Amino acid sequence: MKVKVISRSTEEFTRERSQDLQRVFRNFDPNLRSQEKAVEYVRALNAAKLDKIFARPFIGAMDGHIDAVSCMAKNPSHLKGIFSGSMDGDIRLWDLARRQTVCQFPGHQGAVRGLTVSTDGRVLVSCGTDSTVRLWNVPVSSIMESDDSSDSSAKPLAVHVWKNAFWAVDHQWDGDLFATAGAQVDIWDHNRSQPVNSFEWGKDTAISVRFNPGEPNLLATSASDRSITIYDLRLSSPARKIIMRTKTNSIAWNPMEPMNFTAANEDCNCYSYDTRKLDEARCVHKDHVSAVMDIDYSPTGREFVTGSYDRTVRIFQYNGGHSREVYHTKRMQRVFCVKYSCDASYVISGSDDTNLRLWKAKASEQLGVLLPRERKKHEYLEAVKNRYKHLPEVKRIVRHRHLPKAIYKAASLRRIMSEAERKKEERRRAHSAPEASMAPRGRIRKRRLTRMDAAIDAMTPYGFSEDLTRKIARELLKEYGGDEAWFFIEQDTYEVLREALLRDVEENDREISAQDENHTKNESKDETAAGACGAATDSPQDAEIPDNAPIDAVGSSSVVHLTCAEGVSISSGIDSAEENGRDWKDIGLDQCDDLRTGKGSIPSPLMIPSPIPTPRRRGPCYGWLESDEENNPNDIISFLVQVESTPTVENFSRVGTNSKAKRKSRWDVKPDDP
Amino acid sequence: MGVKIANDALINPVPAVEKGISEEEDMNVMKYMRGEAANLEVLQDKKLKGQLAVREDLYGKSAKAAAKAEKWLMPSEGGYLEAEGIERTWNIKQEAIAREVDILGSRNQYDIILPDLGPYSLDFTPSGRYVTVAGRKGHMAILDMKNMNLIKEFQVRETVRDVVFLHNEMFFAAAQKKYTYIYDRNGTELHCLKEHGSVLKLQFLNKHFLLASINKFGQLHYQDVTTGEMIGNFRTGLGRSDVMQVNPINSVVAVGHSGGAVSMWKPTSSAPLVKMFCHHGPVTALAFHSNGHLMATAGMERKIKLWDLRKFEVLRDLSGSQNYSRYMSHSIAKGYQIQKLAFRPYEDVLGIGHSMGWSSILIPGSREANFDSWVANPFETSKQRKEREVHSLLDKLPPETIMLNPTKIGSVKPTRKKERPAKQEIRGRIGSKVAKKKKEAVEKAKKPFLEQAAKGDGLSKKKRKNMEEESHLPGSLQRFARKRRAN
Repeated sequence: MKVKVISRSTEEFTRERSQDLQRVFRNFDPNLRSQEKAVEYVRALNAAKLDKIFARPFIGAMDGHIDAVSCMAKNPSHLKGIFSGSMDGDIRLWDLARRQTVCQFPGHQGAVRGLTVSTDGRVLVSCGTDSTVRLWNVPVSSIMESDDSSDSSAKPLAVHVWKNAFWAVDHQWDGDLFATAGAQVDIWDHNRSQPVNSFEWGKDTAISVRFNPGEPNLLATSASDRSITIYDLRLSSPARKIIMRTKTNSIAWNPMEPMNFTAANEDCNCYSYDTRKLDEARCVHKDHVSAVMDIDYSPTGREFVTGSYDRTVRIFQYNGGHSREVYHTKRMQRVFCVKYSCDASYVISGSDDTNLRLWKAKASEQLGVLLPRERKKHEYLEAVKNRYKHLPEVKRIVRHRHLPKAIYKAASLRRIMSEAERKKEERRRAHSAPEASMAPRGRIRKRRLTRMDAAIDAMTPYGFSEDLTRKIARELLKEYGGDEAWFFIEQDTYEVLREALLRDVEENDREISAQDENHTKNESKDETAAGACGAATDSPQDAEIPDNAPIDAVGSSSVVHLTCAEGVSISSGIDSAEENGRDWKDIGLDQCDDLRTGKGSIPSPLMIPSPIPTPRRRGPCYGWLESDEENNPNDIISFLVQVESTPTVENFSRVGTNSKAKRKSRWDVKPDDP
Repeated sequence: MGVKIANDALINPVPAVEKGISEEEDMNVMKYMRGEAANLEVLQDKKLKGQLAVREDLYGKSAKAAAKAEKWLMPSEGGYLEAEGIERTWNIKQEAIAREVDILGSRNQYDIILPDLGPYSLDFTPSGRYVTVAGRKGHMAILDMKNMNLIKEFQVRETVRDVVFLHNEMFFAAAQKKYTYIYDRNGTELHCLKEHGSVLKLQFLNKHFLLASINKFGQLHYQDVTTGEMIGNFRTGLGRSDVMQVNPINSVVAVGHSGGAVSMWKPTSSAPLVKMFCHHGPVTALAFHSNGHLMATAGMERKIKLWDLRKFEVLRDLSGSQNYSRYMSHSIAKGYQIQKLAFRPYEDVLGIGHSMGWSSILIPGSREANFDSWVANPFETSKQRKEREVHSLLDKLPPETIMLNPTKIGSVKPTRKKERPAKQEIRGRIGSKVAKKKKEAVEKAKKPFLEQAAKGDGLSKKKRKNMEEESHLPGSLQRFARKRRAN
């Protein structure tokens, strides 16, 4: 017989001395803990409730200004220092820990509209409506640390007077340059009294400017003509521009994903954009009920804070459609400027009531040093809350925020309005003919960033349709064996793909031309009679291409464009644009072009201008990334040289390089066309 | 990559012993996985799929860590009893065991002789450190089992039918002649629970702070002991019963009835969750396995049944002593009436309350050997007890969380694909009385022909006649019809 029973001696399981810690034994057997999920759910619920109880975000107000606070600047090299400028020309440096003014910078005659600090934290730049840019020495940290509360005032390092009032200023992240926004965008150097460079696009005033944190030569500005423009300092002309429905008050770049920026708009929303894909916003952040005045990203890049004319400060996730947090007090008036502190744990807002307010970024966070056990507990509760956040009770408690009555009512009114708009749209859609061109139903398909899409984008300027490109690219991939073949296809700006496409088109044409050889002669004659510019287009290529082939419209009309008088080409371009514009509501680069040239029509997506600058159009610049501009002109020239000698193949390449590719418009179709 | 794996296998082939160990570890990991992973393949949403995959990965890691901790960090191993040669485990007497085990173990084997105050019932705290005993004739006591100290002993001079500890050893409830009372450990009467009536059996739901009782009239009461609120008051409708047990996994209360049925209850519904017919006589006892899937019932017809609660069917039918594999047996002097049996948590000890006092015997391997300080600590100090009380009150579960499957909380309700009939179909079905009438008329016209066709279905006359005869007979006699004809 072998027998053993459990026997525990007390000495083994208790501490030896009273100074020792109590001994802890663990057994993770699930059978010992019954109803784990229920317990976790109750803990999540309690954590959510406790969060609500401990939510005390307001830390304190800093008063001292005697007019509304118009702008603020963080000191990148000093955590607790922040600069603020007010409408009466006063600039102050604050110590956030003591919530006191450390230093004042007197000198501006009018309102201070922009403040910024150089990356090393030594120089403060301010600008204002008195048309001056002032550079100041930031007092060294010894002054900041000293306890005397007497306001010491500083003298400006330099004062530059310029032609116009300024609205904003921002310093380059790495370098000596800073940019001011006013009647135009000026780039200044620390050591020069005049701007080293000026940009202008349109006649309207630029109202905000922000340098890109990743690429020091890039900056985004917004102007009062509702545009957001991106400039590259290395180029003499602006890089890109988009037109919004309403004015953009401020822009902030995401410091962790520097290709993304978020724009604070007058229409109560913020729009996040990817600079590489400016044709649609990545995310629309809605919640404010009045114009958003300022925006600032957290250094983590996961959140940003916005201040609004509706007297609230809100914190959004970088990809969240609605705000995570809303801060308001009875006394806080319209918020003109907000900043996220450099350690991502505080938010500072400056408002119309002359005060700066300091808020916690996480409303219920415990301040001060946490013990490891406390921290662990917080982490555990956070995880549990996250796990059960979808359950209705937890969700209700976590989501609930008290709002002032006015804002609550305005928000519900906005909801009603947007709902009515949606309903109206739906009804219009339901009662219109199916072929009536309206905006696509539901959400627009997300622009995908695959290599196939890149290939399609690259081929569209040459006038090849999306379907055709996709088909040919797939065939090529199959032929060369899988996805590895992309490297091969992408070489020399899609040389292989282009040739394959041309071959395909050629074959198609031959087939078709063989089929209705009889018709072509008559039709070509008809066309010359009917078309506006028939006489000029009597070329061998055109005779070969019949009208009913899908790609032909592109070919023939562009030939027309090439050889015709200029007025005619413009008219046909506009016409096709109008036709296409109905289902192309997006406001993109091309439209900006057109707006500049004064046509005002919405162009087709195919009308991306060619790399060769035409006399009337400005050549666009596709971002700051390198492009193989050296290659293209040679290709084009060689194509152009061969134009007259060889038929269709070169014709298409010429089409691609030299002119707008167009869909078949009403003018191109003859009445007797089947 | 495949080549590399093959190389690894060539270079250091895993020895057989290690393989065995790893398999064993896998088994343990399965224990900590708490069920299977979600099937992510069916998901359409890539983002969600990624998030869930990360989470599943995390679960796997934590299960592995727990299995490792079990392997290396458990301080004590469980008890066992193995027979050698011709001896059988059920023949081994307590005296023999007492001779073999160490002195600490043998200290747990004793009889307390209290002949006067009649059959005793007893209850242990969840940590197994304290026991409360109550004699039928009103003798109550609390003992500290660690050093066998009598903490308090008093007389209520009234019938006491059952006694149960509340959330810790500071309070206990006693079902007395007329009412149920709550006492603290000094014997002070704190509350008199009149609403329960004259209670036969008491149970305490630890996580919910609910005191469940069943009284003479078969009424089931749930009372919240923190707020005093009566949560539920249900009539079982199955008569007087003194068999009640709580399932440790889901806190569902099972009541055994005199009709042979076992019903399971939760405090938020007046109808039983489950009503199962278990025995052909009164149910005399009920017990649950600690994993909650197994239930043992004993009936007056001398049968013990083992039920699988996931399928609600008999796992093993232990009737008489034929296929009855006994583990151990213990004989008590004749004439002792046994009132209550209770295993002591985290010890290999069975407490028996009987008419001559109570005894404690050793059953090796009966309980979990390793305790968790944060769940139930037999060596708890008073400070730890106070802290645990606060924490358990913070984590007090609402009565709605009692359900048959406790893992359902927080999970997604499966979408029921209800095939909605098309609009036209509905219209066709409900509307147009004309169509309905038409259909009926057609059926009416067809009816005689159909009947004819059914009659003359190519069968011979004789067979048809037989069929008619059979259909004339009542159901219970039909099996004789053919036989008689054969005769």
